[in-house]
Amino acid sequence: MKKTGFMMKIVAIAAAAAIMIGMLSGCGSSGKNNGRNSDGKIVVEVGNWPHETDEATLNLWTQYEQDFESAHPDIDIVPNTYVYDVKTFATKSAAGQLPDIYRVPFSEAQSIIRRGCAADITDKMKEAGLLDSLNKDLIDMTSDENGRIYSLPQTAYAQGVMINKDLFKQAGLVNDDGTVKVPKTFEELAEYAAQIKEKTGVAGFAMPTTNNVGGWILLNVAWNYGVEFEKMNDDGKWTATFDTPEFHDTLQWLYDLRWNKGALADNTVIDGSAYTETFGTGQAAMILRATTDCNTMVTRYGMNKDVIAMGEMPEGPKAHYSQLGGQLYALKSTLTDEQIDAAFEWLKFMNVTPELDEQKETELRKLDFDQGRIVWPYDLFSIWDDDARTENVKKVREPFVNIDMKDYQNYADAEGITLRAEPEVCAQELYSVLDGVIQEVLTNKDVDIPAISKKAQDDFQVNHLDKMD
Amino acid sequence: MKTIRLKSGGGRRRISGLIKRNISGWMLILPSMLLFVLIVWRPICIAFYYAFFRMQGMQAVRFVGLQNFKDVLTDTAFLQTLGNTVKYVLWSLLIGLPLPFLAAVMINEMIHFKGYFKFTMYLPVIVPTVATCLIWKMLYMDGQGGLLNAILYFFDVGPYTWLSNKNLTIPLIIVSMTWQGFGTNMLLYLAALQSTDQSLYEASRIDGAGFWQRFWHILLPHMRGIILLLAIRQVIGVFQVTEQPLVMTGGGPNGASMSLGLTNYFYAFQYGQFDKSMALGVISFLFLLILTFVYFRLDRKFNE
Repeated sequence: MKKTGFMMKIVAIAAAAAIMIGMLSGCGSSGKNNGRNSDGKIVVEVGNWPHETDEATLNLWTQYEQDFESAHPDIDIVPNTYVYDVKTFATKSAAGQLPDIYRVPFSEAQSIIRRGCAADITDKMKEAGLLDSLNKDLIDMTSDENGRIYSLPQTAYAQGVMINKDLFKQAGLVNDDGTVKVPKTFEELAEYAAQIKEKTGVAGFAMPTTNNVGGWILLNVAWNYGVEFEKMNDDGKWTATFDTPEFHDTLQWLYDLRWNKGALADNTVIDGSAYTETFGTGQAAMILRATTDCNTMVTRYGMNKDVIAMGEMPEGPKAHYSQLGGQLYALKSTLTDEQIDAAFEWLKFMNVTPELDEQKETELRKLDFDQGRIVWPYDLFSIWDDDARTENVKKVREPFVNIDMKDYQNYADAEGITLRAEPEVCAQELYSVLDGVIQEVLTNKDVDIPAISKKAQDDFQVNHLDKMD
Repeated sequence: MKTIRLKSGGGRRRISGLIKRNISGWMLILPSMLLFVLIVWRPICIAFYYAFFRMQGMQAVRFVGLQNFKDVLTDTAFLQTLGNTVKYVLWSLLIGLPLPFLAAVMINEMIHFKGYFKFTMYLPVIVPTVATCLIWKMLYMDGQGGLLNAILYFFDVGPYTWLSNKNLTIPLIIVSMTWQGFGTNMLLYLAALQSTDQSLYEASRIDGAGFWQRFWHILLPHMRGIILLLAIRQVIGVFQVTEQPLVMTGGGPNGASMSLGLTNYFYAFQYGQFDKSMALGVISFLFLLILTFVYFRLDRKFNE
């Protein structure tokens, strides 16, 4: 018995030790040491790496990785499929778990500086000659108050009206030349939406309502009705300024779409995915979005690319603005100098250069073409201030262009439009407050618009602007 | 002092003796104890600590005393959110508590197909919460695309608004939660029902007592303890409701389904305001601590 007891103790201790080792091994580091791996190579973890579900793109990127590493034997590229998501970004950045090169939308340009999760890349940008060729306004958006730069643009776009041509044609909204009638004002948009609903039974327009997407989209309408959402006072504090007759008119426009014209989608709980899905599956004829989402409609929802058209943002009674958006590259703030150098080498290799890498542009556009994605003749909103580069792009893309540019010309011309960046402070918080307002307008037929407008402004002021450090 | 030292020394000896005697047992529970401390207690303690600091990302940068608590409690939506959370709890007691009990009573009375009904009623428990939310969201969807409206449309009724109706949104979410949690509660009730003194039950039957008489005079008094315990457990669980409004309504319409848990989630994951999130977490923790204390007191009382 005694011997058995002793053996039991040995087994128990061994089991406990095994479990402990298992636990502790889970806490190990990633193997990186001062930005170098165990082979002494400089490690650069690249985000937005294609997922294995997109096999063709993944194969091409894997080939690029091998080509790059052959040309730079001291650098190890580590793929990371992390893609920006508003729900995970705050946590990932706070925990230092972002890839070394990550992409964020323009709306995060200042927040990544405030959070200290982006490296200062001013000197590298100068050295790479990017400051002379990238759009100056975009560079300003990525800089802090001292003019130091923390990210660089990858793509840019303006919000516009995405149109389902089939539904427009069924409703008779067609010009003599066969193109669809793009709404020029928000009043016209509402009329078209009502006409489409009446003629086809499908919603003429969809409005998102949750996850801050509603507020983000409403911004476009409100600006054009003359609304300013916030302003900085002389003492540096911020005041909410949107409870105005102009904002009431904006909400009245939305109210009329819902309750008087019956032109909106039936579902009133619509987040970002449901918003694109509503359009991509033919349940709405118009949404406010940018060209970057056209391919989402094609690849995710199987929409025929020839059914999509884009128009510029309609004009409002007081202004003609469109929200500027896009993607930025940022480098993690904890990178060593040699990692930053290596990251720039990778970006340069991936065509982030003043001069177009024709071979890479050809390969990437051919891939898009082969995968059935839309290839435009040029970037409709380019990040480069360089006409020669644009001409070169046109030449390279010509064999792969697979849309009729007539369907996008109105959007690309963007006549009379002024591009605006998102609100400077508490943008996400503002969108959240506006989501609530939109939900109230769309679900309560007896809504008191001035009352909810005042409450929203007070809430935004008290809960967010007054509590800023 | 001397006595105390002696006592303390004796205590130490007793503890070390206890550990030596059961060394294998202690070694085996050590990993789970460590895991428990690392994964459960450490974050709770850190959250308490950080709730008093202004944070940048996940770094505490400045001690601010009770400012984070003040910010959370003076948020204009706080009272509405607290009220909503209480509404969730009340609706769950109204819907979620009696239905599994009634189902358990029915199954207990059954002679055939007991196993089948137990199995089918338990089935939703194994469906992941997010999947359940998405199923019910599709069911409740406004317009003719919603499953519920499609069924009503077949009978030429509706369409109605469901989740976007402020007065219905919380009860409808509770219905989906009840559907998912139904099986567990039903099995617990059934276990308690089956431990009823069968001779008493049979005797009452022979004496001519009907179902309702047996229910009121034998089952209900016997089940009082488990009903109360499950009620407290339900209050604690539903007080933390987060995923359901997050997936089904995003907290809308206009905050009508926003709960404390969801507000906490938004503070942390939507706005990156981890300091406020910690403070609200501490406030919720204190609420729940009181409820948990009540639960354990009741549990001990009924087990005695």
